[in-house]
Amino acid sequence: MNKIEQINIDHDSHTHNSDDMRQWFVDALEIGASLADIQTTAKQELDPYSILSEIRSRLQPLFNFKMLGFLIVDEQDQDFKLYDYSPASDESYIQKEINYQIEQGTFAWTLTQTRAVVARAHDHRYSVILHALATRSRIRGMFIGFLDRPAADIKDSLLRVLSMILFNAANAIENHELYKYVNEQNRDLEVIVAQRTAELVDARSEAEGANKAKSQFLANMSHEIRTPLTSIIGFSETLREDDLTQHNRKIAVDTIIRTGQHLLEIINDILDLSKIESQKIQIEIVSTSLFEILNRTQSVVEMQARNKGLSFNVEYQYPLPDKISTDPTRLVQILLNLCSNAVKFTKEGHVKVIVDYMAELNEMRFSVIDTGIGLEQEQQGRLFQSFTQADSSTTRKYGGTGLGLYISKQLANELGGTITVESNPGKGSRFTATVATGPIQTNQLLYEYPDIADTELSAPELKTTVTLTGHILLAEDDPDIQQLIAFYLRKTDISITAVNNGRAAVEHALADDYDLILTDLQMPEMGGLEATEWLRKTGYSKPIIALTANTRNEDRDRCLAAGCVDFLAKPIDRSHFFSVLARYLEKSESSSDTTDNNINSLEQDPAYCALVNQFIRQLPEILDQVSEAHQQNNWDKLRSLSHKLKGSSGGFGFPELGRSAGQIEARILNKDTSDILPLLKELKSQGANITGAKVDLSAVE
Amino acid sequence: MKHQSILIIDDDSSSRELLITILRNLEYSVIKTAHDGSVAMRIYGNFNPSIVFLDIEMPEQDGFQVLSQLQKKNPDQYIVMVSAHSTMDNVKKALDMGAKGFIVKPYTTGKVKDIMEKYVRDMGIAHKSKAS
Repeated sequence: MNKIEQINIDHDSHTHNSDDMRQWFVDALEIGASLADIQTTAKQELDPYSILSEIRSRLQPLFNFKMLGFLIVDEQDQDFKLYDYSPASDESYIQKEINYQIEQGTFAWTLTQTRAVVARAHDHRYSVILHALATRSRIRGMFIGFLDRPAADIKDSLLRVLSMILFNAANAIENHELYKYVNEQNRDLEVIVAQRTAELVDARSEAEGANKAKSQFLANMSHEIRTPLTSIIGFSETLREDDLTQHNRKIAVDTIIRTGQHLLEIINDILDLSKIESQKIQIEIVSTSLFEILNRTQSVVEMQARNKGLSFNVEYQYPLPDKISTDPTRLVQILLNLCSNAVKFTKEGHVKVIVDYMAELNEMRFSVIDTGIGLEQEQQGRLFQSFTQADSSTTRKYGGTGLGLYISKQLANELGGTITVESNPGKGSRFTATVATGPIQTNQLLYEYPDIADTELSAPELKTTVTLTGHILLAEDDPDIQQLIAFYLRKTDISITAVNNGRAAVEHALADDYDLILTDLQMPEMGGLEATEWLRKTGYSKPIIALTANTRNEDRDRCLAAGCVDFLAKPIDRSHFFSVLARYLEKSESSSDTTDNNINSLEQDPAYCALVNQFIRQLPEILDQVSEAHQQNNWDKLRSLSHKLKGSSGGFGFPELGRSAGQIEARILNKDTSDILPLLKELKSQGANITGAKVDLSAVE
Repeated sequence: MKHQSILIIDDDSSSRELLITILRNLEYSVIKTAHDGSVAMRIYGNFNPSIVFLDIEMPEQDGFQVLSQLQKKNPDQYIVMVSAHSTMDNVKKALDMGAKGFIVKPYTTGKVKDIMEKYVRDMGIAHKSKAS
């Protein structure tokens, strides 16, 4: 330092030698160059302007300033504030000088310049050097220095060196600031990344948890499915044993039916659940009678309650809307679930449904109240969760799948409401379901129970003992279902012809006279719907009922569009099966009248009788021709004769003859004439019977 | 009496007779018959039947050939194919060719009634779609 001071003094007195001068510039350049490093070495926590004091302490000896300082622009009020200066004792003097230079306009002028401006101090004691501390883009402050010599003695070259140093200082500050900014950004980014990572970890563990719950659920469910299956298979096998007592047989059959129904319940729930989870559940909002929905629920639950010795009643809190807009099937499903649960978990006492209408919300409220075992607080929380519900211990004790409540709640949400629960362990529970009703006018409100003359409600359940009559064509490729339906029909007067596919169904339906067709939808070669479409195109008008495992409305619509008149859900519910058949078939007692009337009308027609007689008269001759053709092995002739017989004899009231003729024709067409002789014999004997019948008909003439 | 006119094309006389009887019974009186395709085409020249019952199995020309000829004269002719065989192939072929119905012999009142009812339905639909 001393040396530099020395140089300055020399320089000051114009007695410099070139070596000293060179050294001075080297020092000055070093200061300038070292500023470039500051930005990288400076601790980022430091105020970027803190480098100014370093610069000040190095500038002072270089230029031999008597006083010097930096002003910086205050970020808040954009005003210049004295930031760093020396000597410390001269603050007020420096500040006074600054104010003076501001008043003089020199300060403002300097800000527009990229070089130093030299002025005289307010008390004329010093020359004042002002220099903006600025980069190309931004003014950051002002340098002020005091020299105790006249302005004319201050060399321009020195001022340029000062400019260079200050320009570098301003850039260093800016770089430092940017550097700090980038660092802060990085740190923020790190925080964000850490945050996101934590979130991802959470999400993953949540997903893993859900996945685990699902796996657990699947494991539970496959167990729940296996258990009834095991007993179904086991008990079915015992039925094969011949020495089974009647009593044990009954136990086996009862168990198979009960567990089978339970299995069906589980599968239906799982299907519902998967539809809900994949958001494929179909909701169809229609205008529905509220009272009908409650009646449907009541008729089922009443029976369950009675079987357990509980009382069940529905309490209507009027006024109530007659009709509400909702999905009746889903609403009944919800109510049945809540009521069945209530009955299931109640040993004694009652189950009650309170129905009221909340006009201000346009919502129906159904409160299902029981006097059952109730629920612990902790249980209540888990109640409506899907995968934690299926608990096999509860299932074993109380039956059901444990999925019902979750499904019901989802359905209630779909219907614009929800399900809530209040419960006292040991005292009972109150499940409240709400559903939206759509807008309801006050004049649609009822103040008492309406007269429901609805046929669907009042129609008594058809007992299976009712004997129906008719001829059914069953198209079903599953032999078990064929046998089951045949078994259902064994005590009726219904005869049944079974085929395995839609093509055969079309051919049989057109060739023979059936009263009703039951058809499966999915069959090899041709499905039930395609067969139905073809039949309807031919003009076929007999009722066709679809057997389908899909009971969604859209499937039903597809069946109806194809030409079916009705549909039966698989697995077939026996009493429903009969009630559907009863819509299309005659009952045994009354049937004879109507059918016979039709036949009579044609048979009483003299022209028809004449035709029949003519046919009968020609028959012996035709039969002779048949024998002749057979003896001559004239298969073509035999085929055309049987074809003719097949076509005509049925129409004249001799279907057996027609069928035999048809079989002979078919054998010849298939070139399988090995056992045609018995068929010919049968044809002949049927013919002989008919020609015998001619006598009777002639007698009528 | 019903006004629809009917043409029966069938080589088997007893079949023809049976169908006539059934139709008369159902109060249809304007009925003409032909025992093969060429006679049918001659009759068809100055008889515009509402419905044609056309047997598939005939010796000279089979029913499908006659169907094509009739359709050439009148693409909208309402034709019901008749066969003693209820094979799916025949049913498909007939309907795909444009037949409006298919009856498997023997004729019965029920089957014929079905066809007459379908005719009325189809005509109603055709009328409506033409009107709109």
